[in-house]
Amino acid sequence: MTLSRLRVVIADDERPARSFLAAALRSVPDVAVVGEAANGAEAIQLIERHHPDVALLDVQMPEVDGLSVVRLLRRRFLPLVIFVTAFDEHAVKAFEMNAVDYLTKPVSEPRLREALRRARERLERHDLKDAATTSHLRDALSDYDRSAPLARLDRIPVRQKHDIVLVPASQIVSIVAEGELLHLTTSGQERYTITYRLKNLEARLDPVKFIRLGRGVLVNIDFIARVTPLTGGMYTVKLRNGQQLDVSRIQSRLLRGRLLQL
Amino acid sequence: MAPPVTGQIVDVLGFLTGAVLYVMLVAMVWRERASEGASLFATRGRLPLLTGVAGVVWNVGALLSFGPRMLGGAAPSPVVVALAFGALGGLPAVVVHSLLEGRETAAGRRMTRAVIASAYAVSIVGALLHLEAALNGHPVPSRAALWVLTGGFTALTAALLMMTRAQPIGRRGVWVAALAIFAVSALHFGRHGGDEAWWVELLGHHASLPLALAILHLDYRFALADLFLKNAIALLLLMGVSLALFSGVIVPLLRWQDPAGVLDPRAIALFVAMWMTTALVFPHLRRLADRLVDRVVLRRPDYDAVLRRLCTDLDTAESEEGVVQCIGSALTASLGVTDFRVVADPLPATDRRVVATGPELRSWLPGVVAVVLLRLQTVEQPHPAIALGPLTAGRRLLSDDVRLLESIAQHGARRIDALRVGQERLERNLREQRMQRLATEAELRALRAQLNPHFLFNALTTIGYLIQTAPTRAVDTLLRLTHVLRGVLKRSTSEFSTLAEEIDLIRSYLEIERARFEERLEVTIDVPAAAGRLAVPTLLLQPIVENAVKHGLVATRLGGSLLVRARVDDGRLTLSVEDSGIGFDPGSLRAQSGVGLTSVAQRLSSHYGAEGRLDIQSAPGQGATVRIELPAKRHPRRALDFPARRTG
Repeated sequence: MTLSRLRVVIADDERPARSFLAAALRSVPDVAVVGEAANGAEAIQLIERHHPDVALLDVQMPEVDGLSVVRLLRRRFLPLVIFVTAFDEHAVKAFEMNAVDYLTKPVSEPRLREALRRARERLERHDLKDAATTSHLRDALSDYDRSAPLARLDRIPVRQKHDIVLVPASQIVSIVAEGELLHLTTSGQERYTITYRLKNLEARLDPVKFIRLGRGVLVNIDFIARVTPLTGGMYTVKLRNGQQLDVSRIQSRLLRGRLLQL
Repeated sequence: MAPPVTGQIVDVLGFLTGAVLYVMLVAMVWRERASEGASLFATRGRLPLLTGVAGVVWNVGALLSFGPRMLGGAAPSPVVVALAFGALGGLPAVVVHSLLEGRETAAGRRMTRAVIASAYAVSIVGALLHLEAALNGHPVPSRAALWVLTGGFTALTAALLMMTRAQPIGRRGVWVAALAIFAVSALHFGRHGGDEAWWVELLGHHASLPLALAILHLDYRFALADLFLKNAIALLLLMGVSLALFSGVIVPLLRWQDPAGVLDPRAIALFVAMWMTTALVFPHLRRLADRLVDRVVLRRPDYDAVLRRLCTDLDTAESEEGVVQCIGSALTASLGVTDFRVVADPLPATDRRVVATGPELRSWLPGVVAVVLLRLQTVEQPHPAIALGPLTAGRRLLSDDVRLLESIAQHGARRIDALRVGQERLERNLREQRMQRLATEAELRALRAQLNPHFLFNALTTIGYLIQTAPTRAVDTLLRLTHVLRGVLKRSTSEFSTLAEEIDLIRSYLEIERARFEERLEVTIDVPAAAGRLAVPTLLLQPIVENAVKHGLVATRLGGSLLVRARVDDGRLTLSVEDSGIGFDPGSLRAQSGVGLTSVAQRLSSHYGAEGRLDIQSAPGQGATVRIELPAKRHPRRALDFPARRTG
C-alpha cells in the first residue's frame, strides 16, 4: 500500500511547541495532522483512535512521558515514532544507538521535513511499520532506562482498557515479573500489567519501601503482614492483601538483616 | 691585757667565720655538682670544691691550734697545725689555677700550664716543709715553708701580672690584690713571735677570707656566689659589731668597774647583753649586706621590677621578633647583656631553659660569642632560642640572674605561644571568612547556573516557536527574558536585594513560564507595597518558586495554582510559596529535589542564625507550602535604585 498522505499525531505539553509543529506540518505537502495531544495519556487515546502513520512525541511530558506512551501503546497501534527532545542526552544516545529517529528542540522546519521524508521512505520500504522497527524502539527504551539517572517514580502509569491510570507507588503491594511483563497488585486489590523490566522499575522506586523477595518479586514493606520462617533459614511472607510469597535463600538473609531485627 | 685578748678574739672569730664560710662553700659546690649529676671526680666545680676543702681544713686546723691557746689550754698536735698550714698554702695555688683555667692568655697554653704547675709545686713544697718541721719537732709553721710560699707566690703574682697584661685592670686587680694579701699574710706568719695589734692579726691570719671571696666573685661557675657573699659579709659585719661592742663598750666598762680586769658575774651579764644586742642588730646587718652585695658588688638589678616591666612590654609585642626584642632590650638594660641574637635551638628538648656557656655551647653555636643560651620552650615547634653575648665589665651571672632568665624565658615562651595561638586563630578566621565568601559566591554562581541553562534553553525554545506562530508574544517573552537575565547578572555580587527586586524577578520568571505552560500555571503574587523595601537574601525565593513550578505544578498535566505571598508582622517577614501541585512526602524530600531547599536553609541560617526559619509542608497529592521567616530589616539602598519600572 502506497501512502499518499502521511497521517501525523503531535504530542507536546507546551502549546507553543504544538502550534509550531502543527503550523510547520501543514506547510509540508502530503502531510495531515490528525491530532494534537497535550499529554501522554491524550496521545495514547489519539493514536489508538486515529491509527496515524507517524507520531511526533515530546520526550518530556508530565505523568506519561513520550517514552511511556510507547510503552503503554498496544503493539498493533504503534506508529512510526519520531521523538522530540529538549536536552536529554541519555535519550539522544539511546535513540542514536537504536536507529530511532528524533528531533531536538527547538525543531527547525528543514529538519522536520527531513525526518518526515525518512519516515515516509521507511514506511514505503517496509510497507508497514514492521517488527524490526518496533524492536528498535523497545531496545531504545530499555537502553534509556538503563543509562539515564531517572527520577523517582511516584506514580506508575498503567493501562486499564482504554484509559491510562496513574497508580501511586505507595499503594502498590507487590510487583511480580512474568517474562517481559510485570504484574502489579495494589492495596485496593486491583491488578495491572505493564511492559517494563523489573530491574529498571526497581531502580525508580523508593529502595526503602520496595524490597526484593526473589528474582522476580518486589514487595512494598508497608504491606507485609507476617513473615513465617521455613526450614533451612528461609521465609515465606504474607501480605496484607492475602498474597503469600516465598523468599529466596539469598533474599532471606537480607530480609533478616533489614527487617527482622529490632 | 686588752690588746692580746682582742687579737685572740679576732683570731677565733675569724677562723670560725672562715670555717663556716668554707663549709658553706663546700656544701654549695657539692649541691651544685649533685644537681648536675656530676661524679666526685668530674671537672665541673672541681676547683671550687678544692678551694672549699682547703679552706675548711685551714680554718678548722687554725681554730684548733689558736683556740685552746686563748683559753689557756694545751697546744694541739703539731701535725694538725702543719696540715692546717699546708692547706692554707694550697689555697693560692688553687686561686692561680682557677684564674687561669679555660682562659687563653697571651703567653699561650703551655705557659699557662707551667704557671699552674709551679703554683701547685710551691704549695706542695710549703706543705711538705710544714709537715717535716712538725715531725722533727721544729716549730710549726715552718719559717722556711712560709718564706717559700711568700717568695713563690710573689714571683707568681708578678708573672701573672705580666701574662695578663691584655686583660682589663679591674678584673686583674681583684685577684692580684687577693694574692698579694696572701703573700703578705704568709710573711706575717713567718715572723710570728709576740702579740700584734688586733688589726694586724685580722689582716695576717685571715687572708683566706678575701681570697675565698675573690675566687667566688671571679669564678665563672659560681652562680650561687651571691648567697655566699651575703652570708659572708653579714657574718663579717656581725663580727665587726661584736668586736666594736667588746673593745669600745665592754672592755672600757670592765676596766672602769674593776681595774684588775677580773671577770665577775656582771661581766658575764654584759656578755649576754652584748649577744642579745648583736642578735637584734643582725637582721639589719643582713639587709645591709644584701644591699651592699646586690647594688655595689654584684650590680644586681631589681628582679621584680625587671620582670614586671618585661611582662608589660611582652603584652604589647605583636610578633615573635618583637618578643625577642623585648627580652633583649630588657636584658641589656638590667644585666648588661652586650649582644643578643635569635638562634635555632641546638639542643634536644630538655627541661633546662637557661644553658650557661661552656665549650659545648661553642660547638653547638659555631661563630656565636655567647655566654648564655636562653631557650624559649614553646608548646609547638620551632622553639626559638636567644644567645646572649658577654655581660658588660666582665659581670658574671648569679643564681638570681639565672632565675630571672628562667622566668624571662618562660614568659617569652608563653607570649610566643599566645601569639601563635592568636595568629592561628586569626588565620583560621580569615580562612573561614574567605571560604564563606567563596562559598557564597559559589552558591550564587550555582543559583545563577541553576537558573541559566535549562531555563534559558526552554525560554529560548518557546520564543523560537512563538516567533513563527505568535510574533507579538515572542517579543514580549523575549523582553521578559532579558529582564530576568539582567536581574540575575546584577545580583552576581550582592548578597542582599530588596524584596521588591526579588518579586520583580520572580514575576518576570513566572511570565516566561506562563508563556510555555499557559493555563496550567495560575499565578497570584500578594506582596504589600510596604514590604518591598525589606532586605532579603539574593535569589532566595527564586529557586523555591522554580521548584514549585517544575516539580509541583507542570509535573501534572492539568497544572495548578501558585501563590507567592509576603507578610510583615511584629518585625518579622514571612514569605510563602504555595502550590497546588502533586506535592511530596516531606520525609523523602532530602533524597529527591531537596538540594535547592537545603541551600535555602543553609543561607538562612548563615545570615540569620536561629532567627531565620524554613518550614515545608506537603503531602503527596496535597500541594506544597514553603514558608520562610526572617527578621524584617530595611535594605540600605536608596529608593531611587528600585528596578520597579516595567519595560515593554
